[in-house]
Amino acid sequence: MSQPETAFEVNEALVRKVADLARLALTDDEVTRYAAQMKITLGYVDQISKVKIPEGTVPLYHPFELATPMRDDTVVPSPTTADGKPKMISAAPDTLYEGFKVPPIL
Amino acid sequence: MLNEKYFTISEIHDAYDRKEFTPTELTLDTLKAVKASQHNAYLSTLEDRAMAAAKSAEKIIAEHGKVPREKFPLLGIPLAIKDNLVIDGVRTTCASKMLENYVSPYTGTAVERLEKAGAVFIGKANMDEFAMGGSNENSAFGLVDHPTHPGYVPGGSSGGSATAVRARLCVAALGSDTGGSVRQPASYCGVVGLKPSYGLVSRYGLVAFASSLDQIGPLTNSVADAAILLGAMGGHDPKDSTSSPYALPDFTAELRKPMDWKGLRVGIPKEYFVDGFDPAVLSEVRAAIAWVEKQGAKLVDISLPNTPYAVSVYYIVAVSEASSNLARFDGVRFGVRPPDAMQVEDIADFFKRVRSNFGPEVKRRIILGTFALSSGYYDAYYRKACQVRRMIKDDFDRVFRECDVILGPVSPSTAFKHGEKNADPLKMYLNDILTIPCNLAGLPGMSVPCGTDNLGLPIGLQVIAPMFRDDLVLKVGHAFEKGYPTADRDQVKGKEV
Repeated sequence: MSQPETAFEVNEALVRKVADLARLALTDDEVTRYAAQMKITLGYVDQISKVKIPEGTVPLYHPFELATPMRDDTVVPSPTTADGKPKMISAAPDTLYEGFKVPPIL
Repeated sequence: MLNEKYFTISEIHDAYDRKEFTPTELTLDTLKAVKASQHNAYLSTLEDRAMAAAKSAEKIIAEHGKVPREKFPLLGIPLAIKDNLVIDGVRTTCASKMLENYVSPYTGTAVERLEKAGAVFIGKANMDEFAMGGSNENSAFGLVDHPTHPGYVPGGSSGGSATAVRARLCVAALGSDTGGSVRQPASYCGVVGLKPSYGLVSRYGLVAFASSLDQIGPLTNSVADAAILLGAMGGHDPKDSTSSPYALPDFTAELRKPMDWKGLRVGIPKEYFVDGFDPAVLSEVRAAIAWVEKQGAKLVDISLPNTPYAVSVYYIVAVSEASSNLARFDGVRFGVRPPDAMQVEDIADFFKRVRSNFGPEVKRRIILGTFALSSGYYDAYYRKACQVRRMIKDDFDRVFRECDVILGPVSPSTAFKHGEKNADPLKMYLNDILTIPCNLAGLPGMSVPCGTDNLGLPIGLQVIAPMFRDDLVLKVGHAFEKGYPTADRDQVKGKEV
């Protein structure tokens, strides 16, 4: 039976830590609510820790277990808008020339 | 115009042939009905696109003298498209503030194939945000009301699609099913809902929630209509590496062959009939199964012993995949930026401000998924869940040596009232126990209306078959729909195809 390598308690500190990893800003109310709900949900899903897994059971990550299909590595032009800009860029929240515009990070 | 007389594809095509009305008239009438509707089933309508498609359909009918069904199986048929399926130049919101202004630069394969088959897209259907939910109460743009019982949920996450079909706001709709999101709302609203085998329909152009579970599926007024949609949109797609390479059978032709009930072994899983489920659901489904037995089918008692773990496995696997898939909504490539997002100290702060656009259920699942995948917990949660997922699939492989199809309920309950379950996420999650196993194992499953409870709320019978035996699911569902005397007859017409 596998156990978490790290002992843990579902509390507000854990929710804050995980939210930070997930890049989510939570209000104090949300932290309190999610901690309580996460405790209930993890308490329920913990039933799988009690399942006896037969020796050699290979995890099923995907229902369709085919080898990854390969294709030729050929360049295909991206679709463009009427004014010739790449369509994929046109759907972005903010752009500059033909790139994604992001805030300065340094 | 969509009324008791005309609401399946073949009925409408026959009416076009007889020149009773035209695709343009039907499209205008359907758009008018959508505008007048109070259900909030649609998030947007596509008037210009729909009218252009209707005119084009009219031209094709005029050229041929009648509907060329073989080449255009959906000619002039008004459809609703769930708002997590992209169409070039059309807003796709996933019912989220995050994508409120997102206009897709391409069209997904399933949608593209339906359009080539002649379909008329009326609009984008409401849904739970990013397809996360079972009641359609998680839409950032308002909940969807039940089509026949105001104040009740239509189910979810494809609640807008199911409501649109039942309320005659389209002839058929596309939904997506990750843990029951096509079958459960179909069951709640009294329409047909099919989750195809994993890989049968390309996911290219479906905004990903949980990639190993997601499948696009039709919601329709008859099983024959579901077969037409699946035939038109299914089959291999090189743009989706998880797309099945196998040739697609002619589903509609299969339905035309007589049903051999006597040669059918029907598995009845004891885990699908347990205390705690709504007695009306159990009794209606048992009555439906008794009818199947009366037709000559052999009932086989089977056991799927790992069913009780399905919800746990799902709420580890699905949220883990979701936390990864939804990382792309970072305000760089996708997402609405708050006005102050550029005035940040560091990039993490920027991401956090953008990601505050997610609603509560989406945040809850991202947090759970991030936790399950985080260092120290991965083996105990994600890996272990995937081992139990294997055991659930092995259960199905074993029982399908003894039976050809499985019959059971779709959901433990009928539709519930708005607000009844959304304060308790676990209660809502447990409602998915009978639909989740198909997604975990990749199997096809379909909800066919089989009755109602004492309030008149619809109940669905679930038909499950081995992977890539969607033809068998459709065949059994069609024969059942044609012959079964249900309390909800207006939905279960069982027309010949």
